[in-house]
Amino acid sequence: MAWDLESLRLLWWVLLGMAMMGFAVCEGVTLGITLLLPVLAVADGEKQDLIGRIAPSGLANLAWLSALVMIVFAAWPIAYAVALASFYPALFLLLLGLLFRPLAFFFLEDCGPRWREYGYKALFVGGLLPAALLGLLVGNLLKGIPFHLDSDMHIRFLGDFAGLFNLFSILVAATTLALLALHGAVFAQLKTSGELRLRAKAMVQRAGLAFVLLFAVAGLWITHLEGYHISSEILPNDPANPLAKFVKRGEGLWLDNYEHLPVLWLIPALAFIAAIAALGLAKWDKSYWAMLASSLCVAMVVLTFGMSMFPFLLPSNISLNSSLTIWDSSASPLTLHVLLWVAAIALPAMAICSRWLFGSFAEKVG
Amino acid sequence: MLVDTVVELSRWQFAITAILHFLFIPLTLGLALLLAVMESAYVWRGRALYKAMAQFWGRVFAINFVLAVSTRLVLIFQFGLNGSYFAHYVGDVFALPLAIEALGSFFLAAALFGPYWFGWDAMGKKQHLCLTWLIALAVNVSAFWVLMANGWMQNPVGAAFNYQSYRIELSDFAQLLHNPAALAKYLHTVAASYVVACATVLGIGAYWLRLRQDDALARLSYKLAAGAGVLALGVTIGLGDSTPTLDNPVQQAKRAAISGQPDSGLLPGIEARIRNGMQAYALLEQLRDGDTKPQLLADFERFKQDLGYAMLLQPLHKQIDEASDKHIKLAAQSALPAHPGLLRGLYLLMIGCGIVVAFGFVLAAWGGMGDKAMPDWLLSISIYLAPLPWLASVAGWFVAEAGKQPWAVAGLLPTFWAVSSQSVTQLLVSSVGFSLAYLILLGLAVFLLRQTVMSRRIVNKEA
Repeated sequence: MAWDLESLRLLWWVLLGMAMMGFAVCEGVTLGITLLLPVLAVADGEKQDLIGRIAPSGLANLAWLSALVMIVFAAWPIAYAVALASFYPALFLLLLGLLFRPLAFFFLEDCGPRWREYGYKALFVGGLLPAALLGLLVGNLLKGIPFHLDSDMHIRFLGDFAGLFNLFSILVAATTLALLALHGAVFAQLKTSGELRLRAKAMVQRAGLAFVLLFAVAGLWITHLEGYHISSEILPNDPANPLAKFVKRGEGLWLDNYEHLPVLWLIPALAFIAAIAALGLAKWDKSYWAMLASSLCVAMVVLTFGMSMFPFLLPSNISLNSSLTIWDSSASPLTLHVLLWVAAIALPAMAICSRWLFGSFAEKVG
Repeated sequence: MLVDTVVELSRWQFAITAILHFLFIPLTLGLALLLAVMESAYVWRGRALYKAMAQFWGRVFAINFVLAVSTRLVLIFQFGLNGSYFAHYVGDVFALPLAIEALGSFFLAAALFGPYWFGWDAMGKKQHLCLTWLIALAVNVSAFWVLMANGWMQNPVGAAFNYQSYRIELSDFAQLLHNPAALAKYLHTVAASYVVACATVLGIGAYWLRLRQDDALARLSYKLAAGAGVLALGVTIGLGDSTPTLDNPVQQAKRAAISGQPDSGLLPGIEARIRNGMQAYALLEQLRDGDTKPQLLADFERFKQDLGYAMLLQPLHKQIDEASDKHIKLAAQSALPAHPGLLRGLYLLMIGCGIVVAFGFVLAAWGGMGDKAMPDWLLSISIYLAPLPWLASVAGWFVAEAGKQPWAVAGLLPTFWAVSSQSVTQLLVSSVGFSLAYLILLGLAVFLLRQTVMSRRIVNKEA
């Protein structure tokens, strides 16, 4: 047992971040392309061409989602329990959106034109709905969720579906949509040719500008948004029990970490720079470099979100002290230890595997 | 506590999503290995027939695999959506094997499927064969980890309650890996899956042979399936599933139910455990109030493994530590399977199917030898044989899971404690929604499979 609990929890927070970035960068391409499907591709052949570019990596990207969910479950069991149960209706819709996608990816080619039209519609919904909902969830995580923990850790939820739709969360959802549209369009520009490529190129500019604007507005809003802060002493080596601390809430507290460690400002700055770089590179037809820039942008946006929340995983807005942080909602040291080695090897391997799927293999198709 | 409707709806929703997911698993698992064997034969011998075979069955595999992956996604959310207290209470142990699977074999199988599907012409023969073998390996390893988690719920070893975090935590990973319930379950379930796959291949092969006796692809598939089927069935029956022979009260009750013997002999033991659990519960209250005297801790350690039994009292009497003898008797009764007749019936159905299928496979293997034409009656039997292993699989799964009730985790956590506090409307809407979506998926799968079998489509081109 080389690591103490504090380091384990910190390491797991890093691994969770890696999984989130991996998921966002990889699955972001599929979501971005499918939600742009009706806009980018007009003719049936174009749609098939576009789908052919993302189908080879389609299942792997869903596997990123399940890896992310399982990391939360195994390393932060109570956070998994609270997050899934509180976002129940949203996640139900998200799952419905994703359920038909694999079938459409692999079997649409063989269907008649009428079935294909249904398939394209299912794919479009399967891109738009999950992308918007994921953004909505991120917005609500920053706002805090209405849950309460009993002394025996029974979880009570006092929110409802309508409660998810507050102005700030809708703004975050719009930002997410713009970001994924940018990411998908850059990929489409890289992988296609002719008319399709020109349309993708134009879309990169529109989506990119929208994202930069929306991201800036969201950033400004955060300075006035109620953030959360642990006001009692932090005991990072204690057994996991979320009820042993005090939490306060206040305007602008999500910027606390940046004030303590100004070098962190580089992360959101890098997100802006990468987005603008992707725009420029796409304009000058340096598609490959634009793809790298937009991937960096997606990763940095995820990191900005994580850094602002640290050390919170799920703040509660009705019972502040029930909030879950990385210090008090983790799994036991033994579980964290066993899984640490698995994840430390698996996550980089998954990233390499995805890079291979997007790169060398997908080009040979169609 | 929660309304009964919420508990019932949550259980139904979980059962529906789990059973429909499970429908796609046995064929995927068994067919993957057969595919690898067929493709190896092609790469080694270079005959076009072997390639056509690998590609045709590859498409059948693909339909099942793709649906197995997407329905799987719903299942990993279900533990949190509907079982959030379960997720908190045992997640530290239960999620570990599943996370290992999600990060390892599941990702591998899902990631390699794209190249497998699109790569027949784009990559070299040997490279592609490599992919097929890796997928076959990965789905089998996946099943191992999933059944580790499942077996742990039948026989929770290597874990203990921690009063500070108020949940079950892992205490010994090696013990979790060597769980006798999980190992027996793995071998039994995987072998049964191979039987399902072989019976399906056999049935479809026989269907074609009835149309044309000189159909080479069908003949070869038939032979392969009959041979592999006899082997897999021998393993399935030979090993059996030793889970019910384990010596914990939950498995004893299950064993009593399926053997049709009265199970009232178990009641005194369960009542004693409930009383122990009540002690543990009372001590736990004191511990949480900050009293951590060594004597108190030692007492709690002595009784804590029966804490789950005291939870059974909750629907009968809100204040667990003040329950009367009458309540204890009722609670003990509720720990026994509610419908022993149903369990016994399904158990016998599983055994019966197994015996019939065994005869069928031996007959098919004998009739399929050599190159002479096969009689129509044998082919008809082979066709009607196909659904039986499936029925046996589902019945066996039901006996194992329903026989565990009222427990979510045997002896540790009753099912009614495990569910989330969702609203009835939310559960109704989502249950109907999931059921509809799954029905549509199932319909599409049947449509695609039918189309594939009838027109003999191969992986991504017309034959």
